[in-house]
Amino acid sequence: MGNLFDVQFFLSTFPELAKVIPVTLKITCVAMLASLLVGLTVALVRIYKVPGFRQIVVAYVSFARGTPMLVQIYLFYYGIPLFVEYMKDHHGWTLDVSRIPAIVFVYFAFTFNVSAYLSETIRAAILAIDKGQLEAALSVGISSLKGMQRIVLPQALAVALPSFGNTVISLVKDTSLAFMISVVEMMGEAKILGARGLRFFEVYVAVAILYWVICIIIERLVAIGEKRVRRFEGASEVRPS
Amino acid sequence: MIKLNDIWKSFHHNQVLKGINLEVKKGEVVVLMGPSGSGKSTLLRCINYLERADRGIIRIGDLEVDTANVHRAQIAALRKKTTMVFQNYNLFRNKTAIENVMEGLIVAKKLTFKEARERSALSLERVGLGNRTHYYPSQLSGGQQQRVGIARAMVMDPEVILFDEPTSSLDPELVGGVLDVMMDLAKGGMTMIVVTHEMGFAQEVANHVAFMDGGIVVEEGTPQQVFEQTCQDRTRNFLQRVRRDSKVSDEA
Repeated sequence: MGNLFDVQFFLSTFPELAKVIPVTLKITCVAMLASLLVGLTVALVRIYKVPGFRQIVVAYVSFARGTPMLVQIYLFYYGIPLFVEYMKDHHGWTLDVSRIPAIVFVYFAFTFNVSAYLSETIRAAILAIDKGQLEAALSVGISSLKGMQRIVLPQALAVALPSFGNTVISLVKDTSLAFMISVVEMMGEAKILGARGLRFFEVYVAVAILYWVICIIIERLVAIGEKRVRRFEGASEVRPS
Repeated sequence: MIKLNDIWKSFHHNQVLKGINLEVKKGEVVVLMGPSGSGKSTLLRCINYLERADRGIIRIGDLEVDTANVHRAQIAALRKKTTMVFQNYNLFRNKTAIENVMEGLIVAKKLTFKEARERSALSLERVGLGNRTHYYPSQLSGGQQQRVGIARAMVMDPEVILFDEPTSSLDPELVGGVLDVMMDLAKGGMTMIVVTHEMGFAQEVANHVAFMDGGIVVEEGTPQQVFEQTCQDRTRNFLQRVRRDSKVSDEA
C-alpha cells in the first residue's frame, strides 16, 4: 500500500520543481510585455484603419487564433533557423542559429499567439471609451496622440485589466508546451523527475499544485491592480479635498 | 473677433449646414437657437474642428482658415483659440476636478505643474468648486461636473468659448448654478457662442440671437428683435413651443 502514492518522493520533487519556476515566469513575463506592445499596435492599426496594414493585421489575428499554440511553437522553432540561413546566404547575415537558445523561439511563438488575443481585447477596450473623452482633449488644444496616451488608454486599461488577468493565467499554463522544443520549464522538469524516479503521478500532482498556486497569486495581483486603476470610478468613496 | 463666412457641411448625403454667416465681436455673447437637427451643434463643432466643414472661411482673431484647404498646423492653432463646453460635460473620467482643468495647461500650453495648478485652483474657485478640487467626476453632481467643464474651458484663456447645450442634460434644479457661472463669465468680458434653449439666459445676457433651421440662419438680431418682433413663422412657432415647455416645467 505504501507504494501507491510515495509521499516522500512527492515532497522531494517540490524543491526541484521550484528551481525552474523562474523559467516559467520568464516566458510568461517576456511574452506578456511584448504582446501588450504588439497587441496595442495591432489594435491601433485596426481602429485607425491604417491603409495597407489593416488587411495584413486582420489575416494575422485570424491565423494566430485559428491554429494551435503547439503548431505555432514548431513553426517558429523550425522556421526561424530557415529564415536565418536564407539571410546568411543572400544578405550576408553572420548570425549562428545553433547559438540561439531554444527559449528565444518560445518567446517569439508566445508573443505571436498572445498578441493576437490581446489586440482584440485592447481594441474592444479602446472602443468602449466614450468618443467625447478624446473630443474634450482636442477641444483644449491637446493633440489626438497625447489625448490617446493620457486620457483614453488609461481608461481603456481599467476596462481591459480583467481580461489581461485571464490572458496571463492561460499563458502561465500554456508555457508547459515549451518543453516540446526542449526548454526545461516546470512541466519539462516534472517529466524529467518522473522518468528519473519512475514515479509520474506524484510529480504531476506536485506540478499541478505549483501551477495552481502561481495562478492564484496572479489573480490576487490583478485584483489589487484593478482596484488601483479603477479608483476614479468609485462614486461612493469621497476623498478629502 | 470671430467671423464665419459661408460654412457648408454635410454628413454623407445629409446637408446639415448650408452656408452659415455669423459675426461675433470681442466680448459679445451670441446665442444660437433652433429645433434639433437644425445644425447648431454641428456649427459649433466646425468652429473648433471637431467636425471638418466642407467649405467656408473661419476667422478667429488674426487667424483665417479656409476649410476647403486646411493644414494640420492651422487646425492646431484654431483649437488653441477656442475651447468647448459639452452637453454631457465630457470630463476626463480618470482625472480629478483640478487635473481636468490642468490637463490642457500642461499638455497644450506646456505650463509648469506649479503654475498650472495655481491657475486651475483659481479657475475652480471662480466656478464655486474650490472645495471639490480632488473629487473625481463620478463623485460630482451633473451641475458640478459642468462647472468643472467651464473651468477647464476658461482656464485656457481662449478667444471664444463654445457652449454646446450646456444645461440640457442637467436636472432642473441644477441649471441655475451653471447659468450663473456663465453669466459671470459673460460679465467678465468673455466672448461666447452658446447653443441653448434657455430663453431667460438669452434675454438677459445675449448681445445677439441667431435662430437656425434647416442648416441656415433664419432670423437674427438682438434678443428683443428676435423674441418680441419676430418676423419669421418658423421662429415664432419654435419660440411658442419653447415657452410652453418652460412654463410646464416651471409649474411642475
